[in-house]
Amino acid sequence: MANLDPLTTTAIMFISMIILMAMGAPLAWALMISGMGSAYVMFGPGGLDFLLSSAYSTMDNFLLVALPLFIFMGLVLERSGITDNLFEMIHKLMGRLPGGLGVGTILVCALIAAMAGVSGAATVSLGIIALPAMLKRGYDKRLVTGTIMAGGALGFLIPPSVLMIVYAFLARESVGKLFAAGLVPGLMLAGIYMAYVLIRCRINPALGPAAPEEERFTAKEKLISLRHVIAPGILVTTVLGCIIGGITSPSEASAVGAAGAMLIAAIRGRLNWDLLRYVMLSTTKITGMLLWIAIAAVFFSKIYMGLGAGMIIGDLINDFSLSPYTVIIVMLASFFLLGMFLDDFAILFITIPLYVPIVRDLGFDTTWFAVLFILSMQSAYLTPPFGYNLFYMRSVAPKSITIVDIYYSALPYVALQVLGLAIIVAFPSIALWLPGLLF
Amino acid sequence: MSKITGYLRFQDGLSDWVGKATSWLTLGIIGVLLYEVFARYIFNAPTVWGHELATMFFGALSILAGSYTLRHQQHVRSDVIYRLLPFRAQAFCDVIVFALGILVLAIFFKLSVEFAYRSWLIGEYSNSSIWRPALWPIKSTIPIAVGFLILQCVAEFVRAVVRLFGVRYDDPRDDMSDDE
Amino acid sequence: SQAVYADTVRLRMHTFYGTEVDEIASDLSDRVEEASDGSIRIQFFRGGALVDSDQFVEAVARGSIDLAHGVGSYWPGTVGIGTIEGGLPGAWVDVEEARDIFANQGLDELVAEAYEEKGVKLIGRGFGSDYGLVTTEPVNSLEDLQDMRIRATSSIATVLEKFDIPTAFIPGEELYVALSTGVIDGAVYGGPIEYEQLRIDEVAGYYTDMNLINPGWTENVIINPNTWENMSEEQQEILTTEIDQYLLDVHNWLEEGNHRLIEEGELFEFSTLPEEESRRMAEAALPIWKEEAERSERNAKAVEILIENAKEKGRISE
Ligand code: NA
Ligand code: NA
Repeated sequence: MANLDPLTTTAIMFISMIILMAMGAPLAWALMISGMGSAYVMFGPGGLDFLLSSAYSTMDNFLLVALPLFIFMGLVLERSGITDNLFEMIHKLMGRLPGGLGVGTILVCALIAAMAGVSGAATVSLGIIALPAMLKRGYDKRLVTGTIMAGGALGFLIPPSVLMIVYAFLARESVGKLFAAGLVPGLMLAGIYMAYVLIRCRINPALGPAAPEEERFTAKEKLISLRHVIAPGILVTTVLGCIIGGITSPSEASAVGAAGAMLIAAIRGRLNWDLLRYVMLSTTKITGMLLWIAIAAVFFSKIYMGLGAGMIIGDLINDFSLSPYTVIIVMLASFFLLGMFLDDFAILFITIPLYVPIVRDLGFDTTWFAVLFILSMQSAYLTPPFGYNLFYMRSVAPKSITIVDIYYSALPYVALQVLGLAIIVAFPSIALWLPGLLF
Repeated sequence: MSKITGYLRFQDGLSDWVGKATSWLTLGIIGVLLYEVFARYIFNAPTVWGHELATMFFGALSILAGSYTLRHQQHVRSDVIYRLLPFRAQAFCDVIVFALGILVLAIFFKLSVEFAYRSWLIGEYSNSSIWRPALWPIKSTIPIAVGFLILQCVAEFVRAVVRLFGVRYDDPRDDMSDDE
Repeated sequence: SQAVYADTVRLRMHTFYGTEVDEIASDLSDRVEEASDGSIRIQFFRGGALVDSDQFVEAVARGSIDLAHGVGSYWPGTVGIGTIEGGLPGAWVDVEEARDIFANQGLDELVAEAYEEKGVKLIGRGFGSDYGLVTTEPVNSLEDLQDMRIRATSSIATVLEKFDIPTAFIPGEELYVALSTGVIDGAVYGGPIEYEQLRIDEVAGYYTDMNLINPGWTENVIINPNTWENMSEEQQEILTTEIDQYLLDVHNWLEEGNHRLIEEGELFEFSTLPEEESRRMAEAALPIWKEEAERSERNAKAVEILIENAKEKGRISE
């Protein structure tokens, strides 16, 4: 068994993983292969067992049960045509305002965010529905593309959030508390996006022209269109009420949400075998993807910690005698950098077990740090070259929108996210107020 | 239809079958947890098995889904550099990655067989609730899932090898654009 | 330098505790390193870092970790004597009695035998502390508990179920929210000091001593047999001595914290279950003793030791 210093261990493990990823290895494979190799060389055969114990402890976790069910719920809602109706509603309500459709899109995103645990749902469905509609009405393509991608990423911060559930699992936080902490920052960020769209369209109305005279709707029509918000509104309230009001655990609430979504689909006459089969199979695929990454990443970080290399970060901080806030900023910068190349779950599994004990020792609130992390992961979804929402958008956007357009469109929103992050760093009470009030 | 195509069609079909069978667990989890909530509030009698059974369904779903996810190429990869490579180099990378993957998974398989067998041998049961279920069934899903995943990995490896050597073949995955 | 490394035994030691025993653990590493002239180094891992606490026996047997500091009742499904080792309701009333049962009445020998069968070596015995009930409403009798849902595990859960008190399993980190929102109304998890660490006092104001068993649990340290054999006799002695001190330090830290908190009386509204009620619970626990005894010959012997001891102390008659 080799005894290497932490820096060498870190270099070997991370470089081999990055080489494998550059070779196009699926993330779970890169983590498993590099973890197994390191375990065998540096730990001896006993280290290989950690893959098994990582698999079993990930499978045997009641908190994570919510993960497939929130995915299930989001897919049912997406398939039952709720997004179409919501966009039709904002068109009637806000079409006359310069940039109004953009603002409405963000509102719909926030609402979908409150129903779905993952961020793909809003980006894909609004990319299909809202994007062509806004382009047709002369909206600037970069403005609307960015709006949809940024709005979609709200799904992490506005509960329920799959990322938060996994974070809670790793950092031994409470899921309910994290959900409560994400809500206000999520709404704040939605507000910042809306203000941005309105300001830009006020300065240059050509970016988001108001709807023409013939697309005017009467007050009555507007009022009737509001009915589309009723069913999803009830569902969102029920699920969040179950969790925050303490009626059920988050995992049970996710089952209530999944069943509620099927009920809504049934009421709308959309619940049939095809929809159910699609949802069951897609949920299986996404769960397989997420949980195999989880298993591999838990394994990788256990090997890394077991080799004693985890202390390297603590040592670095001590050596440079950084001030507590500098440490936080360095951590956030590392999230941002990793976010350009890695998947959010990979970043979570690699960094959080190392960072959270340090954050706690420095005397910061770990719930607040969780919100900072989730916010950073929203940016990771938008920063090129590796960003899911960029890929989702590319897969649904019309040909006229190039990958370069998509990259450029994301940048102002990344800047707004950094602004949001800075606000939460400066005023932790934005995140901590609600959980403090509730629990 | 060449032998390669026939093999790939069979293997993809096997993983699809596993995925379809596994996907029923999603409804199983929903059912168990809804019953638990009902039992607690309507009958005022929470079950002793609800949470643990739901967790077991979840665990089985997670691990068994692996091969189905791979068959549909849904395991996340970062193609930032990969997609810049020429076709043959991509195939070469895939050969390496899947060969190493099969090796790692083979070790995983061996360990998990022993893990499940030991659990069965000593009659291990869970102690997190007073339900105290036997643990060998859930532990056995690991070798089963890893076994199916190895089989699908072999198919991916074969695909990479034939691409590397420029053999022409019809990939059944190309003409059935997923199966939904 | 290489020469020093070659003779150094590096031990990966895992505990089920979180950050709260950090100082005690680092004292252990320092003492061992000093006493062994640097020939033993301990690398310490907190609960959940490498291996889940209920997988310790397997992990030590396979050598993925060298030493584990755990609790027998985490793995009765693996080591059949675990529940008895951890502490059956009514088995002992103070730490002297518990120590006597393990060390002098032969319980530790039986337990060590059970661990040996599973491929690990028992080298240390530690004792927990208060193990009480926290609730959101005051509890003066078992009847008060009937409408509450209590988080409990293992034999305590079985006793509560015998009084038709519904129990649930909730992981430690979810206790705060579960209590604050009413998913559960109470929990049996540890003593005042553990509840203080989890800030449970903010959401549940009442602590009730059920007077069933004290210390409420026992702890142990197990080691991989190969690791053990590869150490010199002197190294083995140093390790066991310092592990004993470590376990004592943990026990003292718990006891001091609990006594301080109970004396201050500010954290919770402290109370004790009436003697009559405790007696009823202890009686209800006896069938559990019987069930445990029926699991194996060794378990039967272990329960016999407990029964003989209880008779001698006059707690049970027949
Ligand atoms: Na969400
Ligand atoms: Na990114």
